[in-house]
Amino acid sequence: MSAQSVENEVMVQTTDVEKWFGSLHVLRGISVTIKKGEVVVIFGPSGSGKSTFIRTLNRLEEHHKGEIIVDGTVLDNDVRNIETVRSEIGMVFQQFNLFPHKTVIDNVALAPKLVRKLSKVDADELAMNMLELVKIPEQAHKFPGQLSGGQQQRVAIARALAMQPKIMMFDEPTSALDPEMIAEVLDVMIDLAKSGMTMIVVTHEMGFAREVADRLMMFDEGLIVEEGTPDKMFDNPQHDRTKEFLSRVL
Amino acid sequence: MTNRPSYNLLIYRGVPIWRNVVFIRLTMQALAAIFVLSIIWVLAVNLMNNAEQRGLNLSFRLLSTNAGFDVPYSLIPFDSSKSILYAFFAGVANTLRLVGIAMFTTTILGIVIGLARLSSNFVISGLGRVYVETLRNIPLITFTFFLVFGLLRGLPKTSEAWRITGIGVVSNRGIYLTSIDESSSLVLWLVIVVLGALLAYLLNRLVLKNRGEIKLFGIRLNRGFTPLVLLVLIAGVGWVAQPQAPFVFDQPELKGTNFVGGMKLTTEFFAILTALTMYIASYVAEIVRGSVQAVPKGQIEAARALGLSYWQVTTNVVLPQAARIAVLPMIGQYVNLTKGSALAIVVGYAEVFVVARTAIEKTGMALQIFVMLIIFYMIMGAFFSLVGNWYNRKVQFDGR
Amino acid sequence: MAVENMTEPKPMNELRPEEKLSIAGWAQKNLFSPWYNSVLTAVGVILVVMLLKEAVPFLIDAQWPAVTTNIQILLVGQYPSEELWRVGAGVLPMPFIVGLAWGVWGSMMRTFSVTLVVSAVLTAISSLFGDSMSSGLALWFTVSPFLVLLGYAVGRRDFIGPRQVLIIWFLFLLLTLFFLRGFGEDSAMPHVPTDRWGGLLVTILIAQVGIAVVLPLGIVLALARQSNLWFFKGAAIAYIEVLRATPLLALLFLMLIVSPMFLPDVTTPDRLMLAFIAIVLNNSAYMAENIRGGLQSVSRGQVEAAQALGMRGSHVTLVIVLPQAIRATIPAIVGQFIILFKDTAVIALVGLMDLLGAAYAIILGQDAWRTADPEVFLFVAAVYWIFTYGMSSVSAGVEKRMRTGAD
Repeated sequence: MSAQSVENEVMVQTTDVEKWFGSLHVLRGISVTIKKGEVVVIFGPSGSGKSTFIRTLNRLEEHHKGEIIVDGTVLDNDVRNIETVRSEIGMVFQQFNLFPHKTVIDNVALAPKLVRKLSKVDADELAMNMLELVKIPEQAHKFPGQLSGGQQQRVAIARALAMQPKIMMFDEPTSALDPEMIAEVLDVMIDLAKSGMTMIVVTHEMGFAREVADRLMMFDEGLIVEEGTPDKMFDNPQHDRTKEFLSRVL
Repeated sequence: MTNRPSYNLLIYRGVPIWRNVVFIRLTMQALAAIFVLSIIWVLAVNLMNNAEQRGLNLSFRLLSTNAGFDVPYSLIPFDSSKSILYAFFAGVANTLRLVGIAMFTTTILGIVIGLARLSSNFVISGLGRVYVETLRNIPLITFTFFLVFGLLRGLPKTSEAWRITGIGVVSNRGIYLTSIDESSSLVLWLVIVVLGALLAYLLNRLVLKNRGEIKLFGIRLNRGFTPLVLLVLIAGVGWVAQPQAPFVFDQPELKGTNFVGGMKLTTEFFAILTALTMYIASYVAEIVRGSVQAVPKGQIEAARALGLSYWQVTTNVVLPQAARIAVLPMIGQYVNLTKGSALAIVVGYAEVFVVARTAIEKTGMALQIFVMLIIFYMIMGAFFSLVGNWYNRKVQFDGR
Repeated sequence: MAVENMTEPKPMNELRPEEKLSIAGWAQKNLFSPWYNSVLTAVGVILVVMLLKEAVPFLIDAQWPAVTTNIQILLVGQYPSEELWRVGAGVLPMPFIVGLAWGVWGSMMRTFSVTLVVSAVLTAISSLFGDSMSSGLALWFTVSPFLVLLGYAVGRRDFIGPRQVLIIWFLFLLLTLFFLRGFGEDSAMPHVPTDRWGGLLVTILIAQVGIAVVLPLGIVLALARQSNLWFFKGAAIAYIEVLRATPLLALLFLMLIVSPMFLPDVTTPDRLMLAFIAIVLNNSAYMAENIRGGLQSVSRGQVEAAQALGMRGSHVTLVIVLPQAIRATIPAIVGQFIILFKDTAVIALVGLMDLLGAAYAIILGQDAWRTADPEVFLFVAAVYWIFTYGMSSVSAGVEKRMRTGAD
């Protein structure tokens, strides 16, 4: 396979994805194609379906119509496919969701042990590497409750990375953080983006978007209203909703 | 808005069926269902075989045959020619009487002991503590045995009965309470009271409308208080103006070897009531104490900062909030009372469980009667949880 | 979890300097001011005096021989005298395991262990005065405190943790049961049917086996009730709600009278076993509700995070959700154990010879002690009290540790 074709390899492809919560139509036909190494930032008002959309990509939410293909695997009712996709996509949550009853290193090493069947020694070594990557190896034997919010979110990133995913998804990773801790998390994410990781990020941190995003998507009422490069979206938005929204967050 | 599509989830893009999430979930449940149903099937077959061999009749129609046994001290009239089902309901009535009275006595005693434990007085709180710690750490049935044996043997003969003036007498032939009976003038007096209440209500409206600016003989009329005085005055005049008082107190008197008059509680009823009341009260006391202590300190400090007195803080801030906290655990204790009433079997007070036992012994219809019994207890449980849910919802609407 | 290094909060019973009051000052503050407190104190003292006036003469005149001459029945029921050594030997691991738990869990188990040790020592001492207790029994009560201390010493070591204690406890429990039951008629340990078992022995065995069965059963039921598979959910709800509504006493009679109707004609079920099942059914429903509360306290995000990492459903439940749920509900779980222990007394009402049943049998069956019911029941109540008080102190210790947030 030539370098060119690797660059163009499609990691995520969705076609007309629709979803309902009861009678509420939250996704009304989302089609996106994300290539390997791309960094996509999704933003939009709350309730626009942006979080729901990325949660359908690893089946935390079931979609009801349309098709989702992640790295060649069709996401359907096949358990094996669901497990495959989940172990290929790393996810970072707004509320960190670290396991409070396990130490930091156990948080990171747990999934490699249980899912990838690594030995304890290998898993711990891997976990330490990941903690070094997010620059907190010294906290390895503390419990999550003893760390600051920013440190917890970095552990969460290390935990997702330990599964060596092909794609990383971030669901508003800095929204629950105190202002002085946002930078430390964004720094890690920027490093990750520059290392060539495929990333899908739901965030309103527009500085981050301008610095590393390849593409921006504006969600509203379950649809992609507008998408494009940061330059195009920030400097010359076409759609009224985009203009209005950006004028409020920028 | 289009509707969510419904399509067959089982046939989906040619996935092998054993890897299909929907299929896996259905299969697991089906296997479990088959397992449970086959156990039920085996048990049912055994039941049919046994019934045939021993000549058991499993029909519920049998419940309408003559009971042939008595339900002593039934609240509703009963004799042995009535049906078994009727006997069962006589038992239900007796249970409801026991639980109803016990709810009242338990709450009172529990509040008294709970407040004692909260007291800053060392002797009083110590007594409360000893009471609670002693009873909570022994089984209800052990306590019941201890109390009932002691009580039934320790109660005095009728000639040496304990008398509590105005309230009643206690003897080994039963407990006789002074009862309040209506006299011929009751109806007239009630009419007077209703009219008085109407007048008081109108007066209250009048005072409210004029924002308390009405004066009578130079005294400003209060809302609430003045109408109440009016009502009491009217009722009092109505009471003394008639030749005969509307109520007469019927005091039990010793006639021969036993007492006559008043309201009789059997020793069985008295014993089980005492046992349940004393035991459950120790739990109620802990609820009372815990609820008062659960009122946030900030609430008390805020109220004191507003200049309210200690008494005002207690009645206006602490107790209402504590009561709100206490309601659900209290309902839980009432459920415990209901279930504890089955312990009446120790003394033989004819509540529903004892009636059921008797009926099973006399008729052998164990299965039918136990089904009735469980339905009864489930209805009681559902009733209390409905009350609890209703209260929860009410608090959520009112609250905070 | 090594506990011995844990820094415990300083006991609060030392008063701060400004609060150190003279006796008169203390009395003034706690007994006589404001004025109505004096009245309350007076009422309280009168109450105490009245109680003592009744209690002291009773305790002095009491027919304690009703208890002492029947101590064997109260402790082991009608277990054959020539086989009593099996009870003594079979139950010997119990004090050792209590000590082990004390060593491992530390302060939480202290009151429980100390209470039992003190009771055993007092019993052993009391056997010196009077000859009603057999020498074997006296020996047992003399040895057991030392076993507690031995267990404590072992439990303090690092190589033994909570999980090992639980495993040892469970294995020894099974062993004890086999030991008491015996094997064949001709063997060194002939079969002793359970209707000969009785007294405190039965109470303690039912409570322990009950605890060992009820906790896992409650966990399974709670998981089923929280499941989104409708059959499991429905079955669990039906089980839990029906059993919670039914009084244990009614369930007990149901098991003994009705359940044989559902069994093949040839089987005659063991009555003690049926009573045990009734207790387990009843308590597991409550246990399930306790644990369900814990499951609900685990946030949805925990499940999602585990799923997002690709973990299997069983791993998500067993490794992530359940440990957190159980940790959050330990006080309620211990509380349910206490209730279960007290519940065992109910089986006396169907003629089984547990501690209370043995007492009942003594009073109704032996003419000499027909009027000795206060003494016998007081003794029985005291024994229940000792165990329950010890367990309550464990529960209080757990809650205290959870409040201070030590982990």
